[in-house]
Amino acid sequence: MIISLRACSLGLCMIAANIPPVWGQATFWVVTSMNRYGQPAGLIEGSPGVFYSQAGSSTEAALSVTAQGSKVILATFPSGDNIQSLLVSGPNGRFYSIVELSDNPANVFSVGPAAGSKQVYAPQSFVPSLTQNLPDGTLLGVDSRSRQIFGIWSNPTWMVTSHQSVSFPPPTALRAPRSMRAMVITTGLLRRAPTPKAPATSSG
Amino acid sequence: MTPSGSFTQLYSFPSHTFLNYFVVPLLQASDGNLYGAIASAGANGTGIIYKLTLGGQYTPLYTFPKDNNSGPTWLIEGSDGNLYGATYGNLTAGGHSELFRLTKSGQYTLLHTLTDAACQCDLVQGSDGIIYGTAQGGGATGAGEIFALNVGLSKPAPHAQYFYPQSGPVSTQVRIWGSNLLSASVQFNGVPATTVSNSGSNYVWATVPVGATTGPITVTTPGGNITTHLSFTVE
Repeated sequence: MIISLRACSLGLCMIAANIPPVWGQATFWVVTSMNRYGQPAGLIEGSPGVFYSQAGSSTEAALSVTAQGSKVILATFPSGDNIQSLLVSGPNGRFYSIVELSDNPANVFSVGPAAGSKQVYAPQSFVPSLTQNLPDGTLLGVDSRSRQIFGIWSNPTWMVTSHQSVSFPPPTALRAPRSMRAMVITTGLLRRAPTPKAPATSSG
Repeated sequence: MTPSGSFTQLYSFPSHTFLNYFVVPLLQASDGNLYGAIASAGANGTGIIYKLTLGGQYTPLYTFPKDNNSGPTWLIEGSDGNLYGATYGNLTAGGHSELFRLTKSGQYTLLHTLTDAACQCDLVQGSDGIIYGTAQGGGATGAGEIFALNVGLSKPAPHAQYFYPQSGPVSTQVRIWGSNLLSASVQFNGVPATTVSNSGSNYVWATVPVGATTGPITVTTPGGNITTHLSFTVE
């Protein structure tokens, strides 16, 4: 049995979230509808019940959304500037991505939990896509255009600190709406945290 | 690919497998295997989900039927060990996007049909156990939506794979890296850390408390706990 709450009010949403469905049931509800900044992409939970995403087509934004549907626009970019990868959380509580300004170069930018917290860092010589954070606190990225540069980005300057040239097989044409989607598969092994069967830990 | 850049080809897909469609990120699941989806492949050309071992053994798990609701665009592993995903659907042909569950043995269950929204949907399991996602279209204005899907999953268990530094005196701030670490508390060989702060679900910072002794670090969240095999050395 599937339960849908297409136009749920805040109260209904909270009820839906708090009632565990019977096994086999699924309860669906809309947390929030997008308006000015549409086509949301990516979702990471930065603190319990607070998710970070990006959205927009002609003009793009980074935003947060609570599980109850409250949206906060954290940063906006003028028309023509394109956010190139999904947000990735850093070790300092901020969220990072790449924005390609009207023309090259691209810049790393970050946002914090509060509106107006955008920081844009120095221009880069190529257009990378961030794919994930790493144990040492740096962020991993790939260049979706040259297909050969594997960048590692580091605090505090968020510039390339090292990179490797590898010979990826050339990707086929892709219809993905954001360039990062074309390249994540090449770093798929690193996208997700290692298995809990990793030898360093045991769960209790 | 290793951190030093050594590239190994695990499996070679036929030419044009990914042509003109979405590429779904690979997922490494709790069983150590890789799982992926190809939106336009399979016997029906409507998508498949496959398993790939780290040794390169490829196994198709599920072939989507020849209808207008297929085309997988996202895949995550839920806290129950099953795979959860979304399909794009052929909206122009009257199809719909779907949210589904797939067991690792290939049993498919339709969970929800998005009648007025369109994936490509990015899914994530929240710390409350609920699956959240983004839809590119739909919602009240047609500009997309963020949705939730409660299928009764437990809160995800924490995983702590790395900590740094691995030694230090009392008051050392230790960075722990893993996943599902929100709302964590930390113990150094059984002694609660004096301060603990989260930076997203992948990082926890914990300060070595007075009275701590050399031993493993235990991270506890509402989803469970995990203890490192490696010890933190108190100097």
